[in-house]
Amino acid sequence: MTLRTVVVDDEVLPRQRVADLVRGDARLELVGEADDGRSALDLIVEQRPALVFLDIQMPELDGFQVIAALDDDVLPAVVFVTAYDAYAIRAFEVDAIDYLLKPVNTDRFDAAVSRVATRLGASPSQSETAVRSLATRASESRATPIVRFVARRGAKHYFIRASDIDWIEADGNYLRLWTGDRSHLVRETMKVAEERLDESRFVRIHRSTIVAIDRIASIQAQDSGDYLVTMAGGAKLTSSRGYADRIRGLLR
Amino acid sequence: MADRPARRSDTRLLWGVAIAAAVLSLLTFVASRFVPALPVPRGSLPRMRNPPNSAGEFLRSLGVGSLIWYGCFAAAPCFVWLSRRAPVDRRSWKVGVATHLAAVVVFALITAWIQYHLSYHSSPLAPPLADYLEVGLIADALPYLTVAVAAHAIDARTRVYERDLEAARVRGELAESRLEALTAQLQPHFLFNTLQGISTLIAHDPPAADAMLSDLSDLLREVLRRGERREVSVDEELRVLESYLSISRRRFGERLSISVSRGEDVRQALVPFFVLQPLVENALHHGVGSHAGPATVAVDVRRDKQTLVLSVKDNGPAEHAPDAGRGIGLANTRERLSGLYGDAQRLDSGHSPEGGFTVRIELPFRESADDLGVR
Repeated sequence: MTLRTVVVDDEVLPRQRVADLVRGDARLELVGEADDGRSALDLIVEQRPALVFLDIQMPELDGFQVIAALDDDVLPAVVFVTAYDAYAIRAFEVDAIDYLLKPVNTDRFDAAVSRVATRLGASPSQSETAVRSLATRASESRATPIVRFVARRGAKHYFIRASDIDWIEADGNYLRLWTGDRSHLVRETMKVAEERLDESRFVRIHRSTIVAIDRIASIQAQDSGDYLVTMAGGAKLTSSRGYADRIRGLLR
Repeated sequence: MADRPARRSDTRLLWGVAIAAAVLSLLTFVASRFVPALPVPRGSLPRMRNPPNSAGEFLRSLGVGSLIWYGCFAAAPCFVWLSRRAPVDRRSWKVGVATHLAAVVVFALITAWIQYHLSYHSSPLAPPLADYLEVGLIADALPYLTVAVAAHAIDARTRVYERDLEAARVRGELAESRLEALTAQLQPHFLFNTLQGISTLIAHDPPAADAMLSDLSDLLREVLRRGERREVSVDEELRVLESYLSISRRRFGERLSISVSRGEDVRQALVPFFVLQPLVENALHHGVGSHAGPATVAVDVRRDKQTLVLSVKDNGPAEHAPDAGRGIGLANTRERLSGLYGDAQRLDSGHSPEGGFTVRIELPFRESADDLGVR
């Protein structure tokens, strides 16, 4: 049985090189190529490949963000392909994650495919957990503020700009972003959202709620010491203990 | 550890010489007080050393004669200092020689004057001071001259050593700055993607692989060669950029169109080496890399009175206003420009209302590097 494989790289020639190697390998079957992070997400959800060769440095959405945005059930085995990224390479070595350095040569490509094939035959989940946790760490450690989130409808992924968000609620392992009367399910943690959203524009009012400050219609103190926050769209949200002082900070 | 015992024996020697000199001085002093001075026949010059006819006379001669070595010992640090202040080198040898000779004369005169008083202490037989100084000057100048030459020779050797050390340090820094220039100006990402591109073309289009490889070699050679220079002419800068663009055209294929234009009067104007490449790379990545369809990048260099204006414009999407990625690319350029030109430069950037992103740099227009004292 061959492994259904996807190749992702924003540049044509480097991507073609990996695609050539995949085509030349009897153990693999090339089912698609993507030239940016968003189309990579669509392709993976649509094709459900067993293996993806994923470039890390891409504009808009990098390799780690692609992994972070994928649900567990569609997360394939990942071999990162990188030109030069000291941080990533160190992380790969620590977590024993498969990666290839550009320019990719046939021998190393063969070795990586062999490792993946062996692993998929034995215990598939182990390495994928490592990849997932690395992607989460990479996303948490990034200092730049979040400008947009990636959400999915069916097999299609799309961006939601942070400036369009009214409020955010935690929903299991996901976040539900409310924009107007629509909501979008995003694979992200409350922690990352709180730390990396612009703190002058968003405030966390509850263990599982973050609101956009300029979309708040009114704030009403309750007898319990909590606050009732009414959003411009009419949604009524309650603050929880421990977050009430952040609201008081807003009112000051 | 190894030079400690040597230093201790040096100190011991120093003490020995000092004590010997002090004893001699004392003896001379005693002798000059109690031994009558020899008469000097009128009209003839006094001699430095009369044949001793008594033990006292012998001691005095010894004391007076050794005074010069005592003086040399004292004068040595002074000559070392002088050899630094007024060195006899190719550039200022006249001043150096004159200063040293003057110092030698002064020391010799002082020594002779002391010797005169030791020899003829309040003696009615004393010859005229001028006569004695004339003889003493000639006799005493030679040892002082020897000290001066020795001090200079030792110091010159030290300076050669120090210069070698400094040269080695500068060479190290230069190599470091070249490496920095290489990684700052040629993103490793670009380098390795280009290599992977070449490895792709080897299978599909060998002539193209060949061309890309020689473009990359040209680019690397230029960066390695020029990394040490801070500024180059616009002509040189555009030539290097051309190798980079030629590689980029292959990287991005058909959909990329790049235009480069410059005014005829800016060809010799100075710009920071490789200032355009990061801006073009930025434009390619954010402007071209992030959307499908035909992409254009326009590079322009123009003179506006006393200002040189460089601009890089692309037709990328205008959607997200605060684009973090673009900011980082520009931060390095901004830092480099302010390091080179201080407040005499300007860097503006922004999305145009009709889409696309423009970076505009203004530099003082200069054709020669001398104005700013920049290498």
